[in-house]
Amino acid sequence: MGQILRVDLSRKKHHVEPLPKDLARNYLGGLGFAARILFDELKPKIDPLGPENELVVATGPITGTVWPTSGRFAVAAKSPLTDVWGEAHCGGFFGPMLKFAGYDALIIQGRSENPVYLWIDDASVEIRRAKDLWGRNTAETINMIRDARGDPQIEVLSIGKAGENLVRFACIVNNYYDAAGRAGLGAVMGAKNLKAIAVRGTHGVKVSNEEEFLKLAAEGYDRVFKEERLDGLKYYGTSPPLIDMKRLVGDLPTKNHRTLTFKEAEKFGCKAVERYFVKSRACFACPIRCKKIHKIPSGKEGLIMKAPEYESTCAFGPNCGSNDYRAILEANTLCDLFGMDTMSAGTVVAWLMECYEKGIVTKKNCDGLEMNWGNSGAIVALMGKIANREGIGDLLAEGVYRAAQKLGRGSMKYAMHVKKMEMDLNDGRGHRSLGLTQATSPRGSCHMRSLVVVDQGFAFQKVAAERYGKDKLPEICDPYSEKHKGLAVKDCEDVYAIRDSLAMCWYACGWPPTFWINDFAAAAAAATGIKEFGNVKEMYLIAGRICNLRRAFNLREGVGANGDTLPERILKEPIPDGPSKGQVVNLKAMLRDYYELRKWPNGAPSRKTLVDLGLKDVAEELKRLGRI
Amino acid sequence: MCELFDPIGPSPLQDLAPSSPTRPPHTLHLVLVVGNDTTNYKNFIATALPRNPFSCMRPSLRLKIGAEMAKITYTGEGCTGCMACVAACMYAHDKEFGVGASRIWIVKKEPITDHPIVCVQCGKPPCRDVCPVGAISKVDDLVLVDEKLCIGCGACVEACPFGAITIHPKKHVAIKCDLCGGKEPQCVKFCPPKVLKLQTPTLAPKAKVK
Repeated sequence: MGQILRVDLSRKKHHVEPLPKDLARNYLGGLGFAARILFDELKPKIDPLGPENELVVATGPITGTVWPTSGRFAVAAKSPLTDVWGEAHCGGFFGPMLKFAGYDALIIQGRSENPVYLWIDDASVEIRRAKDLWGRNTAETINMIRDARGDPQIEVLSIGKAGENLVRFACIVNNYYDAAGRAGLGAVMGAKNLKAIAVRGTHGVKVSNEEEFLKLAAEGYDRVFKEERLDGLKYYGTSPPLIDMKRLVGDLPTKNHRTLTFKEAEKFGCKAVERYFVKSRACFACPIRCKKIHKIPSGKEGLIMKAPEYESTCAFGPNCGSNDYRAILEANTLCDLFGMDTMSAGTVVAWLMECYEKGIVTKKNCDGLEMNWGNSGAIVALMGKIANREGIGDLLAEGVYRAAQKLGRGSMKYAMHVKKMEMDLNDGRGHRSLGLTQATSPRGSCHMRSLVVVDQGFAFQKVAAERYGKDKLPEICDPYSEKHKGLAVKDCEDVYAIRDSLAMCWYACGWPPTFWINDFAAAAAAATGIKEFGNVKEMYLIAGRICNLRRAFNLREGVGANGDTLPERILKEPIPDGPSKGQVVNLKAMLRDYYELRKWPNGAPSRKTLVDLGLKDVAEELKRLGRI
Repeated sequence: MCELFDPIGPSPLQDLAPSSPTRPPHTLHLVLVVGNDTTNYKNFIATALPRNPFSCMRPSLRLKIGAEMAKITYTGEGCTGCMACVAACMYAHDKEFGVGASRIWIVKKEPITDHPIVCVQCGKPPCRDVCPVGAISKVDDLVLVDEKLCIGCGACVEACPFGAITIHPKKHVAIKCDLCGGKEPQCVKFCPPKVLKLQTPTLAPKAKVK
């Protein structure tokens, strides 16, 4: 049976609890654990940067095994950026190592007075002083801890300058460039004065039904190898193929989402970027290897950097009007080192550029930086300013919503955010279901929680027919139609909740549609030995619990249907040019379908919905607070 | 007689590996008890130690390519550092997925180094030469550790020029690649980029030529 490690930084104490059986049975793992633990243990309306907030790091039942793409873990807390539910998921090697140390989840409470780091060496847990680590970037932190312990196997989860300075979109970095990026969880760690969590595990993870599990895992590898649609990811990583694809279908947010076509996007495509590739790297037990290392010719040796993901490329490139790939690489690397979310950072910079264009801010306000569209030097310079909260960076570090509120002068019109979180680099106008995804995502604007793939072009008609029935075709595959999108988003949200609870990667599960919920069910049943997990209906029930709990968490904070909206630009401004010319998002129609399918009248789960899922206590708490 | 022998546990391999350069001290004990008649000893091994750890581990002919014994080789590029081989290796031996007691390891250095390290089954293994209790020996070109004899002193760990032999964190004995006892090596089976190969030392470099 599993264990939960609970660390209280205020009292400098820790203790190990056995994993409650009903938690494992009803919430599967990862995201599910985090949702239940945070709903139970956090009081409503607390300060996310105060000692009452808790940080949960949770792994799933298949984390640490050789199941393809299983090396992930979930981090969750109340988000300082959105003031509601905050979750982030991360690959790399920390999750498996935490599991090898014997813990399924790690809960961090309280607040330390001095900078500390947590050192977990199997059963021995120490809270150690981090005086020398404080102020270091994430890479230095990893190297210093590994050197001090003399063991390169140690996995470290750390924050950089941004987290220390409570930048509201600071992220937590593991393994140099794998980040639990969104929702500002790095600031939660920074507020707790916790610089890093280092872990070494020498135990192993046992699976219940070994034969079945190994057979399924080997089959899983085969399926990933044979999936031709993954070849792009394997050879080019996430960024170049996606840029190429979105360039063609007209879904590439440009100049702060003003349009969806960027003329020079070819500069970031496969052909242009190929020459920089030197190496592929993978997260734990991953056959896809989408992390690419670039070598940029510069000086004698050349610079070796990690290639940006699609979101980072688009955030610092097209969305800021920049065509300078080198600057994108630099900004991306700086974000990794400072521990900042690239999507949020790119969106705030784009907001500032639009404000500059409209004359809301001037060169003088921006510390002498000319914030013209595509001024790549300024983008790179701003990264350091934001992380250190210097000058204009202090304003931007608050996130785009708070910055626009502070600045005023009509700048809120250009702040692209949902539930105060900066928009990810996708746009509902070019890909309609994404509008609903971004609006309903519990952590704010986010494409990862329920991105429907089948409506991205007409290549997935067969998959769509299998999942949702032939009668839903062809509208469900039409990127510009609102019809049946509520159904698709609801289904994807459920399936992805299970994916994040098992802790598998989005690639090969969401895109391309290789694994789906029946595969998750089989894997969970074989790994845990709980037979009920093998039933797909049971999986949907667990997913329903997780989705409703996250909703209930947000409702408790006062964010329900009022938060399910999109920026005005997406709802009202039609796209001026390109393949998706003239499109806007009709969110109301999709939201109605979605609420109906979720059984959320007026955007809040009814008592019956919650009781049917076995969440009677949640229903009672919401009723006590007058939310339902 | 069985009780007499079990705790000392003379390695059956001493007999099987005549090229062993140093005679470990406890063979003297063996001679005293059993006498000089080695046929007697062989019979004893066959009957008294049916669970001889190497009876199942002796690499079968399946691992032979031509006249040479195959070993695990890395093609030199393409490792992504995903550690699937590491977890699969520990599973093959301990029935647990993990990295703590694995016989294969990946050296990672920023920014671009990922290199699997696994025993190359040396022709003149220094680990065998330094083992004070004669627990390591060569059988059919394969270097094996007798876990019963091993005292976990770590002399072999120091001697190995690759770092391919380690001490098991729980059993406290030396562990190294045994090619999964003649079955299909699990690291090779689960290597996602397919860069770990079961190959003979003479064929391995040829595979590099494109």
